[in-house]
Formats: sequence, C-alpha cells, structure tokens
Amino acid sequence: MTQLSMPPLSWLTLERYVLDELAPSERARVERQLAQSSADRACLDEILNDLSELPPLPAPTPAQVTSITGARRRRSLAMATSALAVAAALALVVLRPSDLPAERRRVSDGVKGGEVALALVGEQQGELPTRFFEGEHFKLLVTCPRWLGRRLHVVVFQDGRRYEPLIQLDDFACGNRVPWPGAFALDGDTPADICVTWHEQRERYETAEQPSQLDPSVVCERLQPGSPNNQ
Amino acid sequence: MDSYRRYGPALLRKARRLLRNEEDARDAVQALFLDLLQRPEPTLDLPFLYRALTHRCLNLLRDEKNRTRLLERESPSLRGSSRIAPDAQVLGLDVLCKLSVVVEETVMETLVFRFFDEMGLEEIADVMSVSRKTVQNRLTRASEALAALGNLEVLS
Repeated sequence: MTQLSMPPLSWLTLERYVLDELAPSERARVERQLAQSSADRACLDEILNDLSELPPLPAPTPAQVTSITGARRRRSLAMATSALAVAAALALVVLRPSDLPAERRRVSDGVKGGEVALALVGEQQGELPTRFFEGEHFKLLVTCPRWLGRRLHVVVFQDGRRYEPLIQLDDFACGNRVPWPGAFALDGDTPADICVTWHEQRERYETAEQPSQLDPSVVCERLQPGSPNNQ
Repeated sequence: MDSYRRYGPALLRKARRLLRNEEDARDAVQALFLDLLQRPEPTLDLPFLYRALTHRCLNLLRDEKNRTRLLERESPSLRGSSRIAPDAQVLGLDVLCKLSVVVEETVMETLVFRFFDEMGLEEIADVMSVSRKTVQNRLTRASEALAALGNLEVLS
C-alpha cells in the first residue's frame, strides 16, 4: 500500500539503485521504501522493463572534432551510421589535451595580467555593486581573449561552498565586456566571491572551496551581504 | 565509451520525460556524449550527467526553432505519471518553453529536478551544490513566473 505522506524516491535515486551505485545505508532505505510504496515500485518496474537501447554513437569526423556547433552536431547525428569503435578511439586520441595545438596547450599559463576581467552589474545598484541583498539579480560582463572561450567557467564561493549559478557554456564568445547569458541572485549573510576561472583541471574548480585554490587562473569580484537601505 | 552504455538508458528515460518525444530525446543524449568525447571529464557519474542533460534539454526548449518542432512532436504520454504533484501534469511542454525564456537557467533547472525528476529539496541541493533555502527560493520564483503566465495553481 502506498504511504501518501512518504516523499517519493526520485528517478535519479531509482536509476542509481538499479545501477547499484548507492551507498549501503541509502540502498537499505530505498529497499524499505520500495516495500511500502506501490507508486515507487511502479516506477522501478518502468525502469526495469524499459528495453530500449541507444544506437551507437555516430562517427565524428575530424572536422566535427574541432567544431561543435549544435546545428552541425545535429546534422551529423542525422547522417551518421556506425563505425563506433574506430570513431570513439579517433575522437579520444584527437582530443587529448596533449594533442591540442601548442598555442592551446599554453592556455593555463598563457593568460597575461588583465587579459581576463569581469564586471558585475546589479539590477538595482548598476555597475560595480559592492553588496548583494535578497531579490537583486546580477549579470556578469566578461572580458577575455577569444581563444579562452572554451575554458571559462563561472563559479561563486560563499561560506566555504561553491556554486554554479549560471549556465556553463561550451564556448563563450569572448570579447570586450561580453554579457554571460543569464542572471543570478545571492542570499545568505556572508560575503560572496563571484569568479571566472579558466583552470585547466576541471576537478580543481569542482572541488575548490575558495578562489585562492584556483590561483592564478581565476579573477573574482567580492560582494558583501547587505540590504537596499545600507548599500 | 563505457559511460554511454552504462548511463545512456537512464539519461534517455530522463530526456523522454522532459522533451516528450523519442527522437529528440535520443539526439539530446547522443549529443551530450559526443561533447564528452571531445572534452573528457575526470569523473562521470549519474548526478553530473543528469545535470548536464538538463542544461542541454533546456537549451533546446529555449531555442525558438527547436521549440516549434518539439511542440509538434510532443507525446504527452512520455511524461508519465507524477508522484510528487498531480497538478504538475499541467506543466506541458508549451508552458515549459514559455517559462524557459523568462526565468533564469538555474530556476528552470531546479524546476525540472523537482517536477520531472521528482527529487526532494535536499537531493536537488546536493546535485546543484546549493543550499536547501536556495532551492526553495528558486521554486518560489518559478511558481511566481508560472502565475504570471496564467498557470497559478500548477506548483501549489
């Protein structure tokens, strides 16, 4: 019988349960809930009974490897056939960082001072805000050299945690004070560092707890918590 | 690519729930993995891929050309039943498309995790690396935006 008061097991949890990727304690919790919830069991059955298979990945050509616009990729999907193993191997070989052109390999240490800059624009405070308060949205203007566009990520650090409030782009169209798509708001009562990083190692910026851990491949602006009245 | 074989079916099911047509769902999952072939990630787990796929699907919904095609191909049955809020059925593709052009990416992402992937607030906070309060605030903003679009009760 379904217990209505029980929050459902998410699809992500159920999928991870099927893949045996849950910690033992979490797995036990899921099994207890499955024993009690017919709705959750129905969803699990849906996963287990879904026999659809994905076709092999299409074969990327060298041209597709170096250019990845959405339209071209969709066209390639429509036209692609098989040759998966060879293609995958080719892509992996072609795309290893060590195989990138020399000028691209120097990205992490090739950025000169001032080449990357960011400016915040507050919905109410305008440019160069110093504080954030509930409800105010901010946009980011980024200055960067064109060749760095595929490496840039926006990260916010606050109170020892990191956040990604904006969409991460495959290839940011670098230039002079280019707006990053979207806007974000901040909350909390501790200062927030809004940063753009071009660190080579994704795991570094995914685990960093403060901007200094990304030095020197990072630029930041700090906003203090406040209210509309004490800005 | 091992992760494609391992996680592809789960991601396809997610893409189907959101895009509601088989063809675009398959394209979205394949395109995601093609990108990953080009930019290998050190760790590929399902929560990371769920988030990456959500970004990709939302980008599709925001693009006007894709939107028309997606609406034409929409098969509501692929959305499945909702355990979290029966009213969420009202969140059709049309509403999602309209919403995706008026609210921030992170709000849309939170909405998808909550009402399509049926995650709890804590789980969303973990996947998105934000606080539970932030998740709640984003859902409130989504609700307000929906109300402005004339779907007042959808997330109540």
